[in-house]
Amino acid sequence: MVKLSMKKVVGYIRWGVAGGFLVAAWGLGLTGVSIASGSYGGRSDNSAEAVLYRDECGACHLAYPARMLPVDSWTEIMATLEEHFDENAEVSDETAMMISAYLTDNAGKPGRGMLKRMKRDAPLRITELPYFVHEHDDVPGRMVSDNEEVGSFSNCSACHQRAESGDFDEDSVRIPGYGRWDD
Amino acid sequence: MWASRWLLAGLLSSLAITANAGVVDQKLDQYRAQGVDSFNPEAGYELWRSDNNGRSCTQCHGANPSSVGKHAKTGKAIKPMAPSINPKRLTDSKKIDKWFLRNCKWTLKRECTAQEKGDFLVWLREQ
Repeated sequence: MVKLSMKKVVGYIRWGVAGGFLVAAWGLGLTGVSIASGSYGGRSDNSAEAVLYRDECGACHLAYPARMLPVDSWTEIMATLEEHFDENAEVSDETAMMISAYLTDNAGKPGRGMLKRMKRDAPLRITELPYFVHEHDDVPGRMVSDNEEVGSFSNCSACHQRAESGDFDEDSVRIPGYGRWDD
Repeated sequence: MWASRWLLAGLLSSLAITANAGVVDQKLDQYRAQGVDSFNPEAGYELWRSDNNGRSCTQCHGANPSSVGKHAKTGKAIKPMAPSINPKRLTDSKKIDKWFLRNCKWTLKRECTAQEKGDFLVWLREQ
């Protein structure tokens, strides 16, 4: 039988507790990293602002990832919600402030990602980004605007099956009535 | 144990139903305070199906409030408006205000009156 002095036992417990804290901290760190690197980046996807953005804007259309437009575009959009592409999309001042904070924090950087080759002023439509146009220029109109189940290029999730989670990879494209997209 | 859980669930859901009734009644009180005497569900239904220079509620929600609608522009599905099918409807005062404001302004090009809102709510809550 191994004899343990009280001092040793306390020592082991201390190490155990310290180790536990380390593992917990590591776990928290990992969670933090995975939230921060989520599809929207910056202010976490689970923040009150992010949830509000998805609820409010996502009620009528896909809550487009903030990174797809630069700050200037989001600022203009948030300032003109009463005439939002011919729809009334006004929200309370408090809601608008929170959504703006989220969009500003997570907006794209001109020249990077989907904002590559952005020459003109900040567009209000993602579909007008040079990158977007380039990526979709070989998709014929009959599959989109003339396709009743799609209607327009702004209806991302009609074809991009994982658009809701911010994934626009070509592999997950299924065009209604046409199926998988292969270019 | 299971019986008591069910009992609790039943109790909670009946509380929720009471709360729902409360939200609409609360809105009606608010409209009464703005000078409306009585509400008419038939007028509410007329508003729902009225055509306003080519714009109407039914354009996006569909003629039947128990069915899933489709946003006329974005194509996004809109859950049924009828509380009997979609019990979440008419349970949030802020949402009611928000959608009346937006949708009246879009459909009628003006805000709805307290009378119109009340008529609409007394019609919709029976659906």
